[in-house]
Amino acid sequence: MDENSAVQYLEALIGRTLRVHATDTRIFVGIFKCTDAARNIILANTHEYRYPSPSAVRDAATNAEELAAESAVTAQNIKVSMTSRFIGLVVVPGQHITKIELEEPSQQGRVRDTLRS
Amino acid sequence: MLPNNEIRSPTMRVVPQSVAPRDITIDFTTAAAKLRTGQLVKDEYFTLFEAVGALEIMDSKMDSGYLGPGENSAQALEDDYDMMRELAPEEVLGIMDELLCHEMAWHMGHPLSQTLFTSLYLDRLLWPVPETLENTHFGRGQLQSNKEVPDLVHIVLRAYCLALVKSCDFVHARVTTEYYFEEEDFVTQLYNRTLLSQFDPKHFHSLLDRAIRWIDEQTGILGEKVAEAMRARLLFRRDFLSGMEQDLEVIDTRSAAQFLSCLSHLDFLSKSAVLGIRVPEAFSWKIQRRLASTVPPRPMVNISFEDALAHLRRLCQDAVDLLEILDYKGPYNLKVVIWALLSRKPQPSVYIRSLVQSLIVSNRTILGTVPVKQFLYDELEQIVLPSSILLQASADEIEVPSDPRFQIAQHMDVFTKRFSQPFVDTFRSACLNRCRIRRTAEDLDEQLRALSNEPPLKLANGDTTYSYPLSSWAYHHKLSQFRLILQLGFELSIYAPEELPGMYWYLSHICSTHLGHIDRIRTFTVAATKRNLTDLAAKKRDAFERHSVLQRSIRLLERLTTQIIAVDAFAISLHALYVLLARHRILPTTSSAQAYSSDRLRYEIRMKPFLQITLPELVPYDEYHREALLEGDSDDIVIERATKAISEARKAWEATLANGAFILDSDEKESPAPAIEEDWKRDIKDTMRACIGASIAIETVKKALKAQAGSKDCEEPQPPQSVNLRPTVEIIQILLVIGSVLSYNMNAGASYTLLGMTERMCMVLGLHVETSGYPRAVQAARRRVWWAMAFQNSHFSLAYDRPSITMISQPEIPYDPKSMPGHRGYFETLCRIISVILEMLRGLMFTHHSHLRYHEIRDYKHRIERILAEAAPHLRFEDRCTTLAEHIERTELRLHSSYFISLMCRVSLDPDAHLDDQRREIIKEDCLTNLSNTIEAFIELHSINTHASRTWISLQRTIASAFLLVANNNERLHPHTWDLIQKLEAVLSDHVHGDGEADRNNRTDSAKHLASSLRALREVSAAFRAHSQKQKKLSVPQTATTTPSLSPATVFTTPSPAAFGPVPVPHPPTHSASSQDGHIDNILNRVSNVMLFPNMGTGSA
Repeated sequence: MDENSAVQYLEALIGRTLRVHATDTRIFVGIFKCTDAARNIILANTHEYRYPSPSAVRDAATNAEELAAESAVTAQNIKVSMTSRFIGLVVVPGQHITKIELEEPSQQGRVRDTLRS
Repeated sequence: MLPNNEIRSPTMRVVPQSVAPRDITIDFTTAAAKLRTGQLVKDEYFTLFEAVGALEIMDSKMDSGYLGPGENSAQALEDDYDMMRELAPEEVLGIMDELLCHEMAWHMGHPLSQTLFTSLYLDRLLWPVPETLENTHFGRGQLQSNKEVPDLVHIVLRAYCLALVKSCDFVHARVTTEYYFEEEDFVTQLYNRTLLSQFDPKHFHSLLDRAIRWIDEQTGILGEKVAEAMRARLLFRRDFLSGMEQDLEVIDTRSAAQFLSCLSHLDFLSKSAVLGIRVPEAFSWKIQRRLASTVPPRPMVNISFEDALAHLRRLCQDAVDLLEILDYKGPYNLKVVIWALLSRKPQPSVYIRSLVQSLIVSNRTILGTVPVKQFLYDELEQIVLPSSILLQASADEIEVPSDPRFQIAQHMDVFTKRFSQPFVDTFRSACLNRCRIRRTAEDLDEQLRALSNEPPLKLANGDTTYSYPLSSWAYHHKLSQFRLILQLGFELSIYAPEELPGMYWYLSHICSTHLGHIDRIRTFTVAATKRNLTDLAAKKRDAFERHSVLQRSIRLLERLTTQIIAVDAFAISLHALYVLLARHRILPTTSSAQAYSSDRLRYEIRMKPFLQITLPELVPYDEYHREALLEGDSDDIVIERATKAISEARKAWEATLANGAFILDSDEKESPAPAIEEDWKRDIKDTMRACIGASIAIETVKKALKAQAGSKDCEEPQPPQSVNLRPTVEIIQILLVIGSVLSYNMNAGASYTLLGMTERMCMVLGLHVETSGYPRAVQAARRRVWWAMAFQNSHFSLAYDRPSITMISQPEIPYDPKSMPGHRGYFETLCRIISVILEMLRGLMFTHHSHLRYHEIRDYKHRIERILAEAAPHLRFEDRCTTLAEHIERTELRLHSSYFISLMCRVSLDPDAHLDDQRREIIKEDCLTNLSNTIEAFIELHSINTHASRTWISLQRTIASAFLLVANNNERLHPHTWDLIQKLEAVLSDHVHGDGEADRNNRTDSAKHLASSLRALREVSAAFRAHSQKQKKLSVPQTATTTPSLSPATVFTTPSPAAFGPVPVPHPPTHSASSQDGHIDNILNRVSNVMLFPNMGTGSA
């Protein structure tokens, strides 16, 4: 990938919704606005997502068990939603980024996959 | 208009169901790595400016979600606080009081995230957003079965918390619907939570009632005092909640019971606060990590319980007194109550201010009863249109378009539509914080501006057409707004100390303009009253009613006049006082000596909001400066002014106080708003106290000045005011005329001395340099005066060899804007020549050369010739002159320019000068030609106008030239020269005999000198005639004789450059007359004595 196509690639991402994972496991979901050589990423209208705390998971698990006991069905998986909050415009420094994901309608993703294969 | 703030909707992220994330980490990283350092890939609408506002993730100062090293998420987010724990009653009390502190801190303007939302208890109740009220309990999200929440906590604390949140909800709703300033007054941010607005308030009341009942049931179990304290808090909360709930309904209920009851609890609340035990663990700033917050983390705000109670007490008191604004008694009274209430110090809390805003106007109704249009009409009737047809509602019912009343109705409709809102906003703006009132006043002003162009109204009955009632009214309000802006400037201390004199002056200026305007309005009202008197006498219908309306309006105008006079007089005296302080450098200055700011720039900034307003006109800086500094008034006058004005001010304020705050109907005795009137009275009394303070200050300054003057008198006994040496352009002009007359009167010494003083005065005024900032006309006048001075001055330097100090710098020549080469006027041309002469003198002075070099002479001569060539045609050609003045200008210019050139060339007449023969001949030729040109010009001048040839400088230059010509011309005594000399003789004898020979003894000095020079001239010519006849017979050996006894007056203290010395008879270089007719030298000597250097030494002879 030369510089031109790199810029093109990144420019194509501007305005799309990215999920940026940080080193402390938080995920920032927002509209991609800007980046630079150090991979610092500026996101607008960002929501912060945090994995549920162990206590919340524990509570959910016990709840699920109780429910399971009542309905006599053994639950393997429990579902606990991540806590999220709106934090607006943020910059995630490159060194704290562990993973970047692009959100796209699944339709589009499928088309892309078909094209690739 | 002031907008109402729309309610901000919380942002929720809507995620479409079918979203699939795709990992692009590697692609992204590789692509980003290809970028050069500093290269950005960004949204084209995204600016660096915005980027600065981004919160940096993983930075502890910026990222509210950041967890420090060692903090695990469980501890960091959850706060290991057990909601279900038992609390001692004292602890519950402590938490309640702390919550109240936080509530008040929020009222004061701190965000919820730093105040109430730090409470873990509240957080549990409010998040996640509860669906039912039952859902709001402390056991949420926990396993309900595990533990029961203790009753005390569940019943008492929960009820208190919920009621508190609900009362905050009312406050929030009220503030956000009105005009306020986010972060300045209040922070409305809710961080994506709700304040239980979805639940009906009655549930909260029942919760509180239940809690109170529960406490009552626990007698004996809880401590008596603690129980009482908790009970009082619950009762207070109940009253407070109903008070907040009442909100706008107060218009109908007119009930202050809730807030009065709140007030009754406050003392006990404050006393019982000691019983509480604080539970710091129940509050945590870490909750910010879970709030939807776009700001960096901030610490918790803690205010003391006393401060909180003080704020609460003020809030309740203001809420009680608020009732007094509700009775509508006309716009004037409304304005007074609103201003008095909102000017309380400290300023009423933002809730009260928002509530007042809503009360003033909602749904286009004032105070819930008066339509806006009626309100505006009331105001117009009170001030400009008492009992006018314009305001009669019946006009609205006419539908015939040709009827004047129909047109009036239309006019008034347009007017109402445009101006009711700005007018009401002048009331609403009082509810903002003080800084914003000032700024909004500036905005409102712009809206009123448009009114200044009202066309004269045509009335059906031919009533006062030129009273321009609507413009008058708008102008009245504009002036009020101006005054308000200036006075708020003082209140908010935005003026620097050095600005104070000027701003007080400006205030008084606005006040006096306003007084004049009110007088104008009054004239029309009084005229209407007089017209009505006849109707009254005829006992016409409505006449009596109209009479009382008119009288009421006149009384209001009187009242306004008294108030404005009070402000005006106070401003005048403070202005005078500050001028004195500034003069004696007692006022501190905030700007340093090197500061870029100047009075002019500061004035520009201050007046910026007024720049676009055509009426009242902005005072130009120069006028402002002159007025503001009281230029030309002595200290005594200024202090007199201050003393007079301050006693005037005191009287006027007393009268204002006696008038009372409100306009009352004759049958009313009681004040409609006693509590607020108290505030108003206190304010006026404070102002009177300020007047007394100011008069003491003025007295003190007076004494100090007297003492200073006394001590000065001891040091220098001569009275300081004997000579007024304060220079002005006018005084300089007068001095120049006097100097010119003096020198004409042969009093050259005195003239020279006087000119020295004049010259210094020019420099004091800065005439010798360009001073920017004057209007063009003043600038031109200053330049003219300087150049007129330079003309006289250069004459002294040239003719008497007196040194001059003006040659150092000079202003620009005052060219006419239309002036251009080939069309330079007389004065311009003469100035340009003088400028060359000054340059020449400067060159000689600095190089210490006694005379010019050959090339310098050529150069200067060329320059003068070039300047002459650029002069207007009438200055160059006789046939282009049409008027007498043009002829005089032409000949005068020729006279002076020729004289100047002859002067430069004079060195060629000096046998000791180092010049080679060829060059000497050339220059000598020039010199002699120009000498005779000078005389020719003078003779022509005389032939044009005999008065013109009496000008002293011209006369003197001509005679000097004549003698010089004669003295250097005897070899080739040209018939032309003879001709000239004889004509000159005729001119002089004209002058001498024209004066009349009858009273020889009473002749002026100038006449005496003229006579003696005429005599000398005659002798000289006679001698030469004889000599030339002799010369034909015998040749005389060429012996250069020295001139043994030159006039003592020609001996200067400084060595004089010979070339410009008094050289009418320098060293007669050629065969001067030998012994047998040596009297030529003697004659010349005598002439030089009497004529050319008159009285230089004595000055008064």
